Amino acid sequence: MINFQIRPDKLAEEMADYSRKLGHGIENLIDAGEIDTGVTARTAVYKEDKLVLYRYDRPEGAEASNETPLLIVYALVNRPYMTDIQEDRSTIRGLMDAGQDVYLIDWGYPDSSDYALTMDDYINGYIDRCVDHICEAHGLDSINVLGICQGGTFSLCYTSMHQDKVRNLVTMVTPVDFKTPDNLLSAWVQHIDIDLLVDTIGNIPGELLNWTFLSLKPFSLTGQKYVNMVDVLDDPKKVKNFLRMEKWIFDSPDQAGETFRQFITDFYQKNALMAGEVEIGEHVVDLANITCPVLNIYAQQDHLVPPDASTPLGGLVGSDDYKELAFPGGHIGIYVSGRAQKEVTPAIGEWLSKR
Amino acid sequence: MTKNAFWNDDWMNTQRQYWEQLNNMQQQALGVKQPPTNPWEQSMEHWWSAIQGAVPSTGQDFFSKMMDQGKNYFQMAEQAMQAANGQENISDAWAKMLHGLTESFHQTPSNDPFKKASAFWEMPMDNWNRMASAMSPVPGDTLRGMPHGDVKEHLDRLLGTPGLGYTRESQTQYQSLMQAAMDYQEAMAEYALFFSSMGEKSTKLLQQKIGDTPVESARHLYDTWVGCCEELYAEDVITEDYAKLHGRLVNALMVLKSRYGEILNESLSTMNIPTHDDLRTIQIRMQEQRRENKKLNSEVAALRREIMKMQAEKKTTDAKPAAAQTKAKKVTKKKAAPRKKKAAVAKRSTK
Repeated sequence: MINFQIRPDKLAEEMADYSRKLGHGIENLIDAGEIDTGVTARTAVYKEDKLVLYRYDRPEGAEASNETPLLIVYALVNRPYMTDIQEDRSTIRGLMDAGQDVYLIDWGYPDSSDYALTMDDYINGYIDRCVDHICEAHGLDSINVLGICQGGTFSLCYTSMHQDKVRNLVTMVTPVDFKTPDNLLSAWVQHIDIDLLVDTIGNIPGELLNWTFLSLKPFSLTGQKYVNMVDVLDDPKKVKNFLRMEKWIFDSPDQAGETFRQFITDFYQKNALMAGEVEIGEHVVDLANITCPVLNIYAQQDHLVPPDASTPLGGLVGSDDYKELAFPGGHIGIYVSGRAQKEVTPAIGEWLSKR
Repeated sequence: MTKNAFWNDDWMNTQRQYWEQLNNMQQQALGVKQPPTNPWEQSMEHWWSAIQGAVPSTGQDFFSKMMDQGKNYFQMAEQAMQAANGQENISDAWAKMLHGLTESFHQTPSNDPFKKASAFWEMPMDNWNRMASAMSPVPGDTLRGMPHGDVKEHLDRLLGTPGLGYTRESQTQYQSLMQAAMDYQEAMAEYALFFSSMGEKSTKLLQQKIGDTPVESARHLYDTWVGCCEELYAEDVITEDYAKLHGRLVNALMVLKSRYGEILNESLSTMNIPTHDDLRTIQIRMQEQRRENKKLNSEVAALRREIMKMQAEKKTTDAKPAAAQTKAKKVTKKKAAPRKKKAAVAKRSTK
């Protein structure tokens, strides 16, 4: 027997409440103004094409306790300000508080003139020149690298090809095995003719990526979250934070066609990183070449990069100093949740400073 | 009236009247007319259209989504209430509502009271259409009305006819475009069908999930419904069948776009305007050039460093003999000095 107890008067009250919250919330929405992105002060130290390398400013006299700087390599999909989304939810700030001197690569927004950029251009070109720049600025031969998501995969490839320039490697929510049974993204691309796709539309539009990500949980991500939001519409700070996150979700740069072609074909369809068969420029990427200390952080409820996609890394790298950190949260929560601020960034800082 | 400039409680009273009327009808049981169209939606829409201009563009889309989802959220409860109209037992009403919802997935006539809730399962398809529209020269739903089934079979045969005569090439291109449009439409229809079958399953799951738990609010009903849809969706879209369907949909759209592109290229070419293929060649050559420049720059920088290093080394090497000579001179001078002293002494002594 179904116990259905919604009475018309209760329903009317609920609707009235919802409407009232919407009505009052509109003021907060109007007052929200422009949505700023990235909260920590930084200085552009190197520019090349659309790439900008930033160094995050430390307060006067507050030197980083770790003399080896840390370069963050973010994914090409979405924008890197997710790592510095708001005052109290900033991976960057957490790392700085943990004594790190933080640099970050902002890839910018590729346009049609960037169609032919390859993974070789990104990894052996852009990343390598950023590393060289930092090494030269600090008078060092090697630096620490933190790769996030696809940026983590790029960092693995880079370290495999330039191990001498990487002192310690941290990977966050990084796919290594691209064909695990619970990987929805992987399942969906297996039957797509990538050559036809890239040859037809060139750069891959951000809209296509947005659609793919929203399709992972369409009812929650395009529906329920807006109903939930009404409950906090009376709090201007929460409205602003929500809008900031909303901006980030839909702020998907187009992907350079040739890079997308290789990334999907070699990594997702052929799973060639696992087999040591990825070819980038003149190199073959063998993860066994990675001999520096590696900290691999994954999120236990990650629906984009499931834990099983990350953890095989331990069996592939040649390092004797490999450590995993499992975070009880999702792909985004690992940067923005309150728990991540308390647990993830201090752990990275401590791990790096010890090495 | 409240103090908020964008809000007025008056229209809220209209809603209250509507629900009171519905309540009365329930109490009067059978033989009462259908309630009027829900004024909640109507008044919210009027209110939104009046103030929309004052909302910054960054917030408009966001607010519209909250409005739309609010409608979804209450539609389910509203339909349950309508189903309950005339039922002595409210649980029977609930069963009636679920049955109606299930039926609506089989056939959705325009006056079906469950249409709006079943349309919830059109969300994935709607998302696709928005994305396809953003990438196409024509709106995403333009091709939805294309013929399919038996008609398509006949058209397939017709479009397979080889082109003839002077315009053979052009004729073949247009036939190929038509064929691609029909294939895409077919792929979309299959994709939509996949979700409609999932919709039916979701109502059964909803029934199971609710079980004996008292449903006390529209929100509870909505959240449970979303949870059921998401659970079933996750189970079905990981399957090989769905992956093929998904691949077919994307590939079909790309073939269609590619055919458009071919015809467009032909037209541009005749007007001496660069085509897509021309631009692609330029893009590739430009990147090769850029790569070459960066390599040369890097080599020049390395050579500069090498030269500076060599110059520094040369300076050090040059400085060594010079220093040695200076040292030797100083030593000579030092040795000569006593002689001078001796001479001076001798001079003094002669005085």
